[in-house]
Amino acid sequence: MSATGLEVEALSVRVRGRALVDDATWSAPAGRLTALVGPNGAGKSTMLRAIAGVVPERAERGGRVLLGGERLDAMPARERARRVALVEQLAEGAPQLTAREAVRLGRTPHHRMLGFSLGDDRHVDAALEAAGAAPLAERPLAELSGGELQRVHLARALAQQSGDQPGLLLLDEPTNHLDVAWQLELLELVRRLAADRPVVMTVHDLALAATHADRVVLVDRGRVVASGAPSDVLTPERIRAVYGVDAEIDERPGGVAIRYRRMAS
Amino acid sequence: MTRTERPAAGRELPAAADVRASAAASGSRAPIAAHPTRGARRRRSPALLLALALGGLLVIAIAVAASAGPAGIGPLEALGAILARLGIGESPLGAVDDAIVVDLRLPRALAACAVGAGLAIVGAIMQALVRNPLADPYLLGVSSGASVGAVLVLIAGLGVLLPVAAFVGALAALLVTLGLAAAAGGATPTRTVLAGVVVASAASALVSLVIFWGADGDAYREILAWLLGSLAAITWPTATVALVGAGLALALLPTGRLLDALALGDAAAGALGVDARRTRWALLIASALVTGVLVSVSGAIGFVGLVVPHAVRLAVGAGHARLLPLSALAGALVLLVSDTVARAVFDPRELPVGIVTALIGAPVFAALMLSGRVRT
Repeated sequence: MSATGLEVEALSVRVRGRALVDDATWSAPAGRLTALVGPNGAGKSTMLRAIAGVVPERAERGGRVLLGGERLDAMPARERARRVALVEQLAEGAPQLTAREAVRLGRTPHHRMLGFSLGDDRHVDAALEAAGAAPLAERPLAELSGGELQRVHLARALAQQSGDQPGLLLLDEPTNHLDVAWQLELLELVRRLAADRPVVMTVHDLALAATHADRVVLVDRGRVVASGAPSDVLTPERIRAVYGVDAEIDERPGGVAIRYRRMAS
Repeated sequence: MTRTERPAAGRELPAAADVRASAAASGSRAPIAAHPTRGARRRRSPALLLALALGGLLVIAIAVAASAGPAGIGPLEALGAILARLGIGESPLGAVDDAIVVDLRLPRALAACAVGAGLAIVGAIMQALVRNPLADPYLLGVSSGASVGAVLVLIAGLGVLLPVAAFVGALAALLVTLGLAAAAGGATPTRTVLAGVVVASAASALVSLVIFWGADGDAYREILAWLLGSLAAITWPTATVALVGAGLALALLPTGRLLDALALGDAAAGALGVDARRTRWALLIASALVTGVLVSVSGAIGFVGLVVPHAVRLAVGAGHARLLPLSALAGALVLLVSDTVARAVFDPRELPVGIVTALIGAPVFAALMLSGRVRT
């Protein structure tokens, strides 16, 4: 299992001397769903992007990123893109493409010079189906709801990797802007995809992370504060230290609920 | 996005709603959808049909353009003469009429096709690169630079040098734009576009100054014709330049997939292995160079590069693998028809084709807007 897992070693991203990600070391094994949590501006999204090979303009990146023992950070962009797929946060203004066209974009790193490759349709269909987005295939992205859009983006990420072994899936705030029904459905889908590959997602909702993720990595100001099983990482003390709020954690068999209060000073 | 698709989309809505309702009811358990490939190829055939239709119309338009005019030659005879030069059959025309068709009208018709196709491709690319529907081929100040060169030689009475001077002006404007962007802290796409705006307004101020100071009578009319765009002076050598420009534009067609990837956002494109900054920058420069070549032949013809991509997008959607080649065909057709109208309808006078493209294009596009099919 760990042979195909993700290892992040002393990763740092600096822009003009300021560290957005600072000496971060953590891992995400295959077959597990890992949640990256932390306050706004902690560097979660920057970290995901850096693993996918995307850094801000004029940023310096340091450290190593390994997937199955191979160095992603030293790989040519196209080769890396065949192993790592990133689903960005839902943004305003979807591009004017149909769902199928958007999913087909996942095949980009497999294309040769002329942007044409045989067998694309097969991969695209399989990915659409695996993400439960097949009925959406011919609809314009602009007409889709947030939850449907996330499925299409997941399908794109799957189309990016299909071919050889399942690769790494990075999801930035996949449950953002979704109502509870869509959230649960999406998490179910993500869990299923995490069965045979490492999946890392950033989330703001700590209770959601504690309930659905196998592992939690807590990040603050670019540094990893703690990582491990949710119940070990998400303690009232750590939440107070990182977020500056009092938390009351209520663990039940059906899931975790957390109540927050402003700190009594 | 065409009307015929609306009912199909509507038919699929209940299925999606069911998925969601069942998810809400069971609390979890996302059902895997059961219709993997339904309607998979549906969108491809309208694009193909449109391509065939545009191609057919283009051949007809070339025949009409080669026959329109005072010599009284029919379109089929003109087509026969053109085919004869390609080694197919024999020319049905006498030597004089044959020369009128093949040596006078054909180069102009081909130049119109080449410039129209090139401008439409480059316009579509520019709109995608800067994510702005108002972008056109003249974004980096290329046409304004070309105008400076053109106006200077026209004022000096050296009209023969016009294409060369225009291309030099276009190239100079591009270099100044890139230099300014680089000096301002790195030639990123945004800075490059801003620098282009600066260079364009400086150059057009320069053009106005030169006209105001030095032009009178004929020179003024000549300059105005060039500024509005005209194909009146096309000969085989300049037509060849236009065809080379169109060839360069056609070489950009395979970048359609990259443009689609860029539409997802720079980070998402990067995660697909596409270096967004480098791709955007390289395509900006390539597009500006193509524009420079085209403008040196025809002047800055407006509207084609701006509106044709929008019109095609209405018909086949925004996927660039279809948008770029269809824009090329539509651009060629629009400019050829406009130029033929500019030449034949107002006989014996001739209008600069830029006036006709706007006169025809504006109401057509307004009609498209009023039909509710423009999505902004």
